[in-house]
Amino acid sequence: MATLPIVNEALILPSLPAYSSQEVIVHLAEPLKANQYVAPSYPQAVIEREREFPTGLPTEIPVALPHTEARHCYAAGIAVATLDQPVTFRQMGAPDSLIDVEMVFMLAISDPKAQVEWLKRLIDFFQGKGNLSALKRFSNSAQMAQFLRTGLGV
Amino acid sequence: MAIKNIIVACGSGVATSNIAAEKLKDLLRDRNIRAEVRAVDIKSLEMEARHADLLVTITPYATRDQELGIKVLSGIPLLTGVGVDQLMEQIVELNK
Repeated sequence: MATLPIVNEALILPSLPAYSSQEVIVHLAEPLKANQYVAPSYPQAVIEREREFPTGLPTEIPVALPHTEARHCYAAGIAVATLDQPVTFRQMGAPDSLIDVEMVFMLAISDPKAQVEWLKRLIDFFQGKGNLSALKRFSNSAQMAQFLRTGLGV
Repeated sequence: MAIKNIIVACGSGVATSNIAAEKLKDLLRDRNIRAEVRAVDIKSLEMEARHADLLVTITPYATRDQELGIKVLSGIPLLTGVGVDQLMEQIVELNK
């Protein structure tokens, strides 16, 4: 299906050293830009959106899903970082709550309606028992990409 | 009161409310609750609420300073999986 993005290992950064949510966003945006998934305006737009609508989620292993409007995105893609040192994101729906996030899934959404299906698969993957902890144990991006492909069915 | 129309709102409408709405549809089907579920933009919330029985919201901005006149529940469990059963129990209860 054309609307399901291929999990691209070039967008996966295991054990990313970072001290803030903004730093993670900027790092993860680099391969997205280099591989033509997003426009140069993307990282700043994500940072601003995160400020207004935070995306931290208190899942089994806390995650964040930074993203922004489709006009900054050329193609559907998912950039992933695992963090050895958690960074603080604010919680989706409860911006006064802080979450120590250990994995970040940054989304390039170029067609929100068409891409709901894979976003839903991603949420199902988060909710699957043991999935996030298994993903976090991998130390190389090829293994992580393969695990994600299987988990998302793409 | 039968719950017939449910609206799901998030802050910016990029994707989150659509995902939560899809999850909610599946969960309602499992419980044999026949309700229409729609993801709506926060900007049209007041208007949409007139035709809805329940608002499930991903953002607190949705309820701030607004008298929508309908029941409001948090939709965060739809995204995290934590607290889904409690959320669905509340909806079942409202549907009685």
